[in-house]
Amino acid sequence: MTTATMTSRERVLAALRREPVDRTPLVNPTSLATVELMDLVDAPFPNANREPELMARLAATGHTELGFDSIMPVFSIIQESSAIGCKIQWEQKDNWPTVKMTEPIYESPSDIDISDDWMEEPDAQCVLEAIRILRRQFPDVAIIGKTMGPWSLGYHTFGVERFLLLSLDDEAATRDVLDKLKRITIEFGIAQAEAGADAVTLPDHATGDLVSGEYYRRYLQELHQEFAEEIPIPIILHICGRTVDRMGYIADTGMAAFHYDSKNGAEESMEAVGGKISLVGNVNNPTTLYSRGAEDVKDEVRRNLEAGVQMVGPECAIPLQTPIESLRAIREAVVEYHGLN
Amino acid sequence: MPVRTDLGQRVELVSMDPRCHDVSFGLYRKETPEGPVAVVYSYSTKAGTDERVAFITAALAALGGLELVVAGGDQAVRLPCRDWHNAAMKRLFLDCFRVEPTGDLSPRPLQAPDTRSEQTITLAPLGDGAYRVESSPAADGEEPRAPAIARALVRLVQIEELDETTVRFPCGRDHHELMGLMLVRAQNLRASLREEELTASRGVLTAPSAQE
Repeated sequence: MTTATMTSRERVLAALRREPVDRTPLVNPTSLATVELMDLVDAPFPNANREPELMARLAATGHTELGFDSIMPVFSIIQESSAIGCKIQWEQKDNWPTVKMTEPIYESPSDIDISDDWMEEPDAQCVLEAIRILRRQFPDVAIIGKTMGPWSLGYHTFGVERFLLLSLDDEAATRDVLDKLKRITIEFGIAQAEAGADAVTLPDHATGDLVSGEYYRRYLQELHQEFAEEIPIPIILHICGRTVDRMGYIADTGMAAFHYDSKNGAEESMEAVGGKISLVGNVNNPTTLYSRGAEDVKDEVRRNLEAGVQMVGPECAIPLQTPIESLRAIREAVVEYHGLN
Repeated sequence: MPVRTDLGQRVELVSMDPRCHDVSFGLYRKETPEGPVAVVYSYSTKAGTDERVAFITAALAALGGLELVVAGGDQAVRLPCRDWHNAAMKRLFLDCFRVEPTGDLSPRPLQAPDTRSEQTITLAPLGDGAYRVESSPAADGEEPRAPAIARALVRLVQIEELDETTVRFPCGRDHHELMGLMLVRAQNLRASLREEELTASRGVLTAPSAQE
């Protein structure tokens, strides 16, 4: 048995740079919130998405109770969309807040008018204040923020169908939309860095089911390169689904890491990114973490470790009903694999 | 209060109990030298939570015919066969939350009027964990409901099908109380399964492109 020699924060930051670590870090670029953890610290949804103290308290359980090396307080994907005026279905404790995409706020690129002080809105400020709280409370843990990419914001503000049709019919208009919305991504990313975040997750839902790898290259690769240059902390790109066809493009963006889905094998993904970007993932959520036992979770973690994946964690925001013992099994598998005490 | 690591495997969850501040309650399968036991647990410290845990535990025992035991300091229940029937335990747990706190905790009988016909359904115990599903004579042109109810019980409780109207618990022990409770649900299998699907999909975050 050996002992860990790095702090959680040092470990995560090193893995994001693909530098040596004392053990593989457990990283959650997306939410680890569950209804039981909400009860444990009395910080239930939806309020834990809107009040910074509750947001920070619930997020901290990922480190204090589950043993992750990172804390990620931005559970949902709607904070900045709410701040710019999208209508939100806030839901209850046991479900996710969502943007009402059937009631879009924009119809054409010319409608996009984002006020200069959009980050003063409470749902953006909540994120920034939660990061400040966590930075003070956990100086040795990696704090990860989240800023949504313009493709996802396009879905939220135009509606999925309208935005996808626009991307098929009018490339110039689509680029106009993305160029206007990217301001939100950059400004929110920079603000979170200033609040104390060590890295930001950047979900941009050019998902494998609806958007091809070629589409990614055409519309998003350059924008993602721009984010890597403008946002002064490491970026973890998150795209759901089967994405091996675009991992090569993603690896060339200059982003630090790609948070990848269980629909992609660990070995093929490592091969696809060619050592140019770190990978984080990819324990399956709906089947393995939610409904199978700890041994199946450990098997998936081991597959990632054996493939050399730099950081392990769930593939996406975990279901709110996920059993705590399944989440703790992720850490147990890493500790066992590295022979640590 | 830290996370409990000695509760065993969570097999079912009520994520919001409207009768107790929308608190979450889990049903945990805990292994003991005498066989598996079930523990009801909540991480909430809100007032009334302990009392609610005690009520649900008592309801499990009464409605499911389970034995009250203490396991590792936790009040628990176990099946009299000392085995574990996962599907039945999950459904029993969920049903306990439907009972009014001042409601009747008597076990349900092995006979019930069918909700879809004029027939009466009876579960006749054959011993060794086997039950024959019987339906009273059907009206002209109406199919006997017994085979459909037997198939529904097989799916809901995950018990063995011996023939088209006979089912049996694999442990070989009778569970009259569980069967009485499941008889009510088996009459509307589709609704039970639909409810299960809805519960399973709730709380799962989907990409914007997959949201309705």
